[in-house]
Amino acid sequence: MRRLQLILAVLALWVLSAALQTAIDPHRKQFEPKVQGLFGKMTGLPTEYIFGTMLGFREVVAGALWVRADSFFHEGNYDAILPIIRLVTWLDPHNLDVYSTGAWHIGYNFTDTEQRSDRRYLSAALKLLEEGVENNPDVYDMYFEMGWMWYDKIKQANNSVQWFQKAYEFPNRPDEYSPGIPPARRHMLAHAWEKAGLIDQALLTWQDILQKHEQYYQQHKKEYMAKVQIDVAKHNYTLTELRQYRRYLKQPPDTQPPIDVKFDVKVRVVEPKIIEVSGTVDLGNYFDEQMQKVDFRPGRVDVVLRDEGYKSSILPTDEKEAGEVWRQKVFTFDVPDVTIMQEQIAIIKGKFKRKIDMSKDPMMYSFKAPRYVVTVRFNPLYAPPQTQDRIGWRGEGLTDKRYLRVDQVTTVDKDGKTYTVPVRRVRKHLLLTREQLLSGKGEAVEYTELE
Amino acid sequence: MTAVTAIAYNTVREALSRRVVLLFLFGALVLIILSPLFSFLSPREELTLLKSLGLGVIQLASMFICIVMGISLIPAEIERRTIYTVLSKPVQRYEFVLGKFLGGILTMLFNILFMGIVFFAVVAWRATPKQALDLWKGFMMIFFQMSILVSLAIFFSVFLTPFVNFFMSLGVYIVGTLSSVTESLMKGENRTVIQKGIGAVLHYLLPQFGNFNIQNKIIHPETRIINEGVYYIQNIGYAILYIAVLLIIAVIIFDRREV
Repeated sequence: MRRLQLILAVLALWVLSAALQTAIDPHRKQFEPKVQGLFGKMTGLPTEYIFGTMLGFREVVAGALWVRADSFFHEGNYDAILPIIRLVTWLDPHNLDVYSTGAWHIGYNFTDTEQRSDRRYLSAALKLLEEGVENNPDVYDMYFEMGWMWYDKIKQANNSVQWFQKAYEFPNRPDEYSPGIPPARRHMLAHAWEKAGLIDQALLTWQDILQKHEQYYQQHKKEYMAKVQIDVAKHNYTLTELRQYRRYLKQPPDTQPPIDVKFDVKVRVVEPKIIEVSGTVDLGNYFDEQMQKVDFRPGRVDVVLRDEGYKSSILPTDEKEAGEVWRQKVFTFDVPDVTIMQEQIAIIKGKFKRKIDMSKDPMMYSFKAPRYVVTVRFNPLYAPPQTQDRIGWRGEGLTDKRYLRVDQVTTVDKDGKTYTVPVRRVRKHLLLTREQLLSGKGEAVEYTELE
Repeated sequence: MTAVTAIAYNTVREALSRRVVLLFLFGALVLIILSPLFSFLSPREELTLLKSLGLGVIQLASMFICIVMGISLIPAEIERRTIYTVLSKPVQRYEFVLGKFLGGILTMLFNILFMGIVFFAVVAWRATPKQALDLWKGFMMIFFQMSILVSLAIFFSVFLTPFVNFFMSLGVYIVGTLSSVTESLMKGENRTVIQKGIGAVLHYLLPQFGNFNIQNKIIHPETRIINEGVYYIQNIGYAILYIAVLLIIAVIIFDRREV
């Protein structure tokens, strides 16, 4: 009789535990990676790693793999790091450093022998950060990293604004272990507005930053950095306001009348897969003598060579129909088999010239397409401030008889509000054939189909 | 002192004097103390690694201590024939099983606390005491996870040899940590009825140790968890229910066993 009662009690308790398990299941997912078939994806890893993961030590395995990736990095074995980055983010989707370091590594460190980044990997870097944002929406880090990738690597500050805004919304971080945004990083939002050509928004942001820094200083009076931040923000605010006055508001403004930069570009194939890009952006003569004495460099031109017909909005070609061909639906390290070369050349005394060698990296420059478009442009939005003093943030003080292009640059903020400003740039497209590039002879001809 | 507490007290005393248990404990402590060796990484990366390694070491060491201790709690008494002395006194068999279980989990509690205090100190030293405070949740969940494992090892020990018990307990622990896998087997859209059935049996019949793996939240405290407190309470309730199930079955079997 007692035995029967015990068996019934076991059954009742077991039913209860099963019911509780059903309630626990949806909550448990919050602590786990959101990857289906994780074990299948770990094929090739040493047994102890797979065993460790099976035992529930995912984070330990992820940590051990990340330490291994660090040693690969110091050995210069970059290729070995890629699968580790992927695995670690699967095992521990909240490991922020793996996303940020991983995206930086993918976006910046795969280069040719002359240290030019392989731009085809930018898609993977952006997708990894996108995953980072999805898995970690409650920390500022991933938003900031995404903003930084657009601002610094892709150099499209207009696309970085919404990410920096999302990072900006977080409270101040009191120490390096706590969540929240380090106060100085708020400055990036103001810089992004400025480089997007939206100066009023930049000034409003500096004002808000100043207010936030002052509040922070009241609470952290012993931190000397809290005071330094106030000084930096005040300095930047005043300088931006002063520049706005000089460049646009005073009569006549320093940016008028526009200067003719006599933009032109020549591209010659000098050896097989080696081109020489040269040309003129005549800004040098418009600065005073002191500037000339210190070998003043008024900026750089962007140079892009890619397969004809490959239109991507993350290349500095400003093509009107450039689409989101770069966007990955599912993260992959596989890159499209196209040739993309991107470089910057410094303007010295109104001229620029550089030999670009693509002969040593056949994996990066496969030259399989029959024709290639070379685009060279000068973009005032990313010009140094002393140059902008003359030509303005948006190129108002710049003109050219042949190659002036007025682009509408649109910034969409985090709430979906759009800001569009006209930006005056100079840009020229040229065409090279595969035969020219492989034979090492020939000169590019102007290509007008893109404007 | 009741029979249960007397048996529990003696179990703790014996377990703590066993070299193999102390060996695991010592090994774990050494690993925890050595964990700040990752100082070549950034402070945040170091803290992430430190926490994941420390919690992992505590969990792994606790698991081995649990199994090694649990598989021999009752068989050792039978082998040494001390069980005759105990059962010849006014001690019920269920009291004996319960006493052994309580002794087992008290030993675990002592071990987890000991490793936990050392680990807490290491994290507080390398980062901040505030960062270390979150660790208690992890220790608590490891304790309840291990309590189920002790009861499982005791359950198997009433009808299996210690050698077989070791592998059975370890096997069930491994399958039990794969909660998400068994759940997806049970609920997956492209599964056959047989696969779903196997998934359901594994998911509801075996103890779900995976429920207690909450390290990710502790390693990344910024992660937002909805109803975190409720989740912990549910799991503690689950542990108590499951332990009760295992111990009652163990008592039923042990009652009928001739010793």
